[in-house]
Amino acid sequence: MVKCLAVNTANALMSLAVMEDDEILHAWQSEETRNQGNLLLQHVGEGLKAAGLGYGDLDLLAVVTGPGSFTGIRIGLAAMRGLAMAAGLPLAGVSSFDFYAAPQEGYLNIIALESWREELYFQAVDAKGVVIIPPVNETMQDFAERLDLAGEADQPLFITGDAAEKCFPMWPWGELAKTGPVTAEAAGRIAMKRMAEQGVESFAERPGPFYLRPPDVTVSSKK
Amino acid sequence: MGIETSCDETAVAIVTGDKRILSHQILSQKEHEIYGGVVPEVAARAHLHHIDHMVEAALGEAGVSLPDLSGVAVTAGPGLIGGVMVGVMTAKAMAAVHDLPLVGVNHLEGHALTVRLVEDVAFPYLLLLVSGGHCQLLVVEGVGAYRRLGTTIDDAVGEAFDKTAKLLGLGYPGGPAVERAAAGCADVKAARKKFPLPLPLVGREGCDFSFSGLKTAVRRMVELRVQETPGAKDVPGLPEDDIAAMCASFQLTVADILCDRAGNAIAEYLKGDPAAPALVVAGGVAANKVLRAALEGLAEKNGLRFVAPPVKLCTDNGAMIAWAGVERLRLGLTDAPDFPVHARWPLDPDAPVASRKSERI
Repeated sequence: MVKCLAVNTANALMSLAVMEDDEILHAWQSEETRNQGNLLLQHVGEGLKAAGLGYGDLDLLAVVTGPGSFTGIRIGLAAMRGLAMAAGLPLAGVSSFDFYAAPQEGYLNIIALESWREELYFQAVDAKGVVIIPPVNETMQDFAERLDLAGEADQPLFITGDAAEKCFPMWPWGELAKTGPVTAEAAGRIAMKRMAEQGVESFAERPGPFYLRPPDVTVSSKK
Repeated sequence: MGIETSCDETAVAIVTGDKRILSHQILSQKEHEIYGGVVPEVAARAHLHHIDHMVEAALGEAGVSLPDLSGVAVTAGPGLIGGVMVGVMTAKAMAAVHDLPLVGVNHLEGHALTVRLVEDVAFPYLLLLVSGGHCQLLVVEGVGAYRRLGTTIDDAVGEAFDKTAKLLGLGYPGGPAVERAAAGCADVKAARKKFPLPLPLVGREGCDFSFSGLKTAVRRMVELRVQETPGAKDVPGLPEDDIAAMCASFQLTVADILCDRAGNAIAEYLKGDPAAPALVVAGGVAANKVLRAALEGLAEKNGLRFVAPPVKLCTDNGAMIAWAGVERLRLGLTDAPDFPVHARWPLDPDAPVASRKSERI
């Protein structure tokens, strides 16, 4: 029996889940992205209370590490790393690609993630789960070209991710699937699976952010 | 415990109510040097990378564990919001697990109260807050009670130092670099004659500051010197003596400006008939020894005690936030777990806007 608190703040749907193995003891989500940082730990506290648990009762924490909103990623990671440190709990980092990358038999899986700019986040995984194109940050036209060059475009495609619908016109022969955003619940499941397979030692180091795009350099003279 | 992440220092410290600093962890981010200024996104990333380890280091140095703390104080603004958020989320998480009181501290209040961590200074005192983002004169009437007498109408004094250092190829941060270079000037009087600079607002009424004109004048001075120097195509081609002299002239000009404006503020402050009048300087620029000496002279002339916290407490640090937390906890001033962060957060919200350009708080 593993009790897990999972949080996602990396995309437009902020969510948290308190789970015990497959069972969801408490779940909460909000599309309100403003002020999410101020509210996150309050909702975590209320969620644990509703599930009848304290921090000391948990076995595992999970957080979505990105790619997504830089600020959102940091809010989730700062909070969860703080909780992990203060409560002495293991923390699993789950990337959005981890969620969408499940292999689809007979298909190449293109994962397209929203970035709120022209360049999106992409990855391609084959039917066996082998990464064909590792995560990149580029326009859908550039990624389509990359796929052509790799000789991979000409086959049955699954297009997944929260930017999948947006990218569908690039590969009209593809099939859309899993177009919803990553949720805390999904992150919790992936984290618990990893703990079962690789043991708690695999979380010895607290996870870092998965930005996939270098910082925008606008120099501030403030200090 | 105090946590500071509002600019380019990731800092955590633990202090006690009886003024002992149990730990003082500061990490100055080097990532910004290549840009010649602080890049907000770079700063935020670095804060997240280090903050939990800095907390652990501070606990280790002090030999305490989280449940031993009486509270967690964290800078909630003003500053670069991405970094502030990282510190605040970390603080909130720790407080949530161990049910600790939380204090969201105004970074400027941290600077304003630091002096009381090292000296017994009674309210009200006059504070000159000089840093890379701020240049203000305030009467500190009590915890949370500030009356602003003057502020900069354009740039902060630290920006003028950074700009001067950049123009002279001295690197970043500019304050220590300019001070170091100026120390190599043998004859400061001659330097000032050779490289005269304007004194914006000096001699006028009020306590406001202006540094943008000075920045422009420094740029012209440097360009002119390059033109006048045979064989020098650019700044690195200038003789070292000239660079030292230009830094010395700039530094003394800033000292004159600060003393003139602070002089007006002293007159205003003394009208309130304070029992133990004191002039306190704080902020990163207060680490400059030439400026300190000039302000000390000014205070002495006016019968004020002069107090400047040690340099390590003038630049951004965790102890000042921890101490502001102590002062607030004593008054029962804690914050709810959902307290917000502020990119702008004036200490004296009633102060009139110092204009020409919009006020920089």
